[in-house]
Amino acid sequence: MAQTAMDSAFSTRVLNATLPVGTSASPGTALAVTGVGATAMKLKITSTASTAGSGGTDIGAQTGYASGGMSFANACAVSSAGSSVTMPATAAMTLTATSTLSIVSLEILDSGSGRVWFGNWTGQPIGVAIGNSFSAAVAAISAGGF
Amino acid sequence: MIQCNGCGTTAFADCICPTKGLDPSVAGQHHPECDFTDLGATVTCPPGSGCCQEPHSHDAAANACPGGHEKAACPAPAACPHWQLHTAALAVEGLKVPSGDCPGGHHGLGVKGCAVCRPVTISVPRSSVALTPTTGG
Repeated sequence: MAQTAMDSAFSTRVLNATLPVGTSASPGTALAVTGVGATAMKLKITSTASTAGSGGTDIGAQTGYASGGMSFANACAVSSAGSSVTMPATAAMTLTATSTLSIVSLEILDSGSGRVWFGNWTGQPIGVAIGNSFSAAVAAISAGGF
Repeated sequence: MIQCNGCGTTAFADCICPTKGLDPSVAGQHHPECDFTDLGATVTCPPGSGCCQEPHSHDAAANACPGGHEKAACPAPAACPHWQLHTAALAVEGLKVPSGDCPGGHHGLGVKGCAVCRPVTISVPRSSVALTPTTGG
């Protein structure tokens, strides 16, 4: 199910970077100021709902999941002709619960851990008992459509 | 999809909450009859698989595990939920029930030979979450 999915602050940066809001009506530069870098983006999993204005509550450290999010291990295929980007790329991303989890939302974080995209997992809230694993299959998540 | 990590038995969960007039994203929980209320219960490992066959909620048992009793005495011998479940199951089957509290040294997450924990993997399948900005988003 498609969802409203872009962090409002990041949405503002996209608009300002691609519309004539800069000096002499040139495109703004807001997008390039922050949020890019050489380090991997992260998938953050939350126990409360993310909204356009605020992030959800991180599930905290689990086996295979560092507090604040798990890094994408492989580059995803680039968008072409407006196609969506699907993730994860070549391998599932999996964590094993070391505490009782109720999983609600996901967030895609940029290299500076700034929130970019967000959405709810299908079927949320998803209960994951201690010792059980939660896994996002290859291409479980897609983002695009604008 | 839910898959037993032990024997590989798989099951597919379906959220029926909308048909019950419940929006789990608002309620914060699923309808009692929905698979998502107890995902671990959707997998039924066949007899002889070596997986736990006790008629209880594996998720509840796992969440009740106090852990920390590998190669050691049970940290909660008088209240160990696994020992209680184990002995109760023996009684139901008419088998000899050991006396005393949990002796420890077994039954625990990650403990070899544990017959209580039955870990599963809950997989979110391909193309199941679409993030698409919408007007006003």
